[in-house]
Amino acid sequence: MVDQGGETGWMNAAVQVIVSRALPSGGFPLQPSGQFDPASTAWAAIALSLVQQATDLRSQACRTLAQSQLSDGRVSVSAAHPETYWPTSVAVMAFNLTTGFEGAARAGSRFLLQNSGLCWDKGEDKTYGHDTSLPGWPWVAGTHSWVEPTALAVLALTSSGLQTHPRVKQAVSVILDRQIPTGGWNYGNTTVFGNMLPATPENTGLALAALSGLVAPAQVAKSIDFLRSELQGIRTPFTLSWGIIGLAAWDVRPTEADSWLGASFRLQDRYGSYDTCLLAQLIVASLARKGMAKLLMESAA
Amino acid sequence: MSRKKWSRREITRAGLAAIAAGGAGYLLYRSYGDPASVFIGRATDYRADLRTLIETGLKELGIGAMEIRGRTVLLKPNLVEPHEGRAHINTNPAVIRATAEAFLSMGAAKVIVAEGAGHQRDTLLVLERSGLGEVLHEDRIPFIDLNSAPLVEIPNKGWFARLSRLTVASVLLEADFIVSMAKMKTHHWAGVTLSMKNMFGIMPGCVYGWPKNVLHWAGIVESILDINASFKADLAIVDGVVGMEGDGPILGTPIQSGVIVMGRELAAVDATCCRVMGIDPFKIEYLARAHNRQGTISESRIEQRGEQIQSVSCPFRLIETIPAHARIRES
Repeated sequence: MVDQGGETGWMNAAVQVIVSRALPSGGFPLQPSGQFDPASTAWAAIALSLVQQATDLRSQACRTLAQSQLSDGRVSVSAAHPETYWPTSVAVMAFNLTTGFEGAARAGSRFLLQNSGLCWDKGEDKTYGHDTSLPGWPWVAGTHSWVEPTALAVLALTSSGLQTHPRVKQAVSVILDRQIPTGGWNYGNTTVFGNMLPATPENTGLALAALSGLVAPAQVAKSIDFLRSELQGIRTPFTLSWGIIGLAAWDVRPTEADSWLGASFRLQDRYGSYDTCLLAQLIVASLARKGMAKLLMESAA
Repeated sequence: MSRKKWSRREITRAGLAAIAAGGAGYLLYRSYGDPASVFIGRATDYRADLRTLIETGLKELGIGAMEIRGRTVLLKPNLVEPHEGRAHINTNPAVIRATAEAFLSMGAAKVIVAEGAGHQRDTLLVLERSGLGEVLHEDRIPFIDLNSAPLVEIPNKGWFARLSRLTVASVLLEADFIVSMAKMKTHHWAGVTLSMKNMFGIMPGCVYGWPKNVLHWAGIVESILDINASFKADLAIVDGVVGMEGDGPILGTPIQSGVIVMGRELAAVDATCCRVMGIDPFKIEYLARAHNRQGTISESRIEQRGEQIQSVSCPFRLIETIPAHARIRES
């Protein structure tokens, strides 16, 4: 395991916690004593792959994940909700990092390429500020596209070597179109009834992570500034991880990033034990020195 | 004379008639039975003695230690997204703290706070930036993230929208007494967001998305009615000490409305809030459709306790260009 100058001692502890949560039947739960959770399993497999530990466990995790994959390639939140397919993107990233799951990765990518959020031509309707005709990805089938699922799909398809695919180019348009004029992103609405909605740091980190290498720096300069400023006081794991990953993707990783990640890990004293996804994301943020897309491509099986 | 045997079709018809008669009886009961009680308490700011105010309200509503002792009380605040200088977006932590203290003093075995924030994925950040995290930490009150907690399916008892079942966190079924703790706000889709709309937050983001777009496509009004038909809160407490007027629920401006509104029947509480806000509840679609199905919104059927509406009336600014705000002003 990589040790980044002694700043990442917490990472060993995080890896051990993830490993300790492995289910006997394969895969990982969101929290200890929970049931198999596809997104948690995919994130755990990604983190364990990147630290090159627990080879058997991550293979078993991917096997369980692949077993939950439907015949069209999607990975849903649960068997009861096949329409909620946002974990597919994270699963594709996990499959791409694990030998023997190339077919599962291709099926997941194919599903993403064949599906999109609902689009419509809004004509003269000015209710929403963004272009509702652009196809990105939704959280749930039959709903509109939003920033996070679209950003995750871009990362997944990029990790599959599909960064020049027309759907990725469309997704880049979606994400850029949802950028708040003053910088940053929120869940995916820029203006509603003519009023500008505020940006949030976690969506900004996700969007910047996805756009790295696909758009010019000038197109996201205000958003980088927004995120750098916001991140100073944030130690909660989801936002901090994606914030650091997003900034690292644009070569502006904060110099204090490693100590911030350690501080975030230690905040479990206050918040209780983190979800498996959050532990994995802290690990990814520590390792993604040039962003997530590059890390995934360099680490691909 | 031999008794005529009923055919299966006749039995079905008779059954439907009985159901219809029962339904009509229920409507009559709601229309002509006991009125709903709603308490209005005045609080000029969050430094006021909110615990005493909440305790007074509970007493006025007939909620005593006998009902609460030994039970698990779940408080469901409105935490949409926190932003600096916009404390009026979310239920104020001082109101949540006062309510928790009131229930604990009545002998509740446990008070927990639970919410599934509607827009932001980072629930811990929502807690920190709203100020609620610090209060819960100090008071050792557990928080459950309804966006990611273990789930259970419940039937959709409303059938206003096309969702055949609803998925919610199982902790909601395990709690004994649930309190919808909304913020008094205008809303650019629903007209107002109060205790019934606040129940949107029990729907988990991991299933319905961030925002909970499945419910938007199914119909906001229909989803509000379905959620409240399928899952009933035991009490509503609306934080209107500082409300939000204009382009709510995020971009509106604060208004010192100075009230806490409480009641067991959510529709009646929301109707009273509307009247305080200078809005006709019969012109709010979800309330008009809830009327006589999920409670009453008729002023004559609501017994006001505490302050009277006229004494705390505080018309909220509306934006006529927003369709949900058009023509909802009380005439």
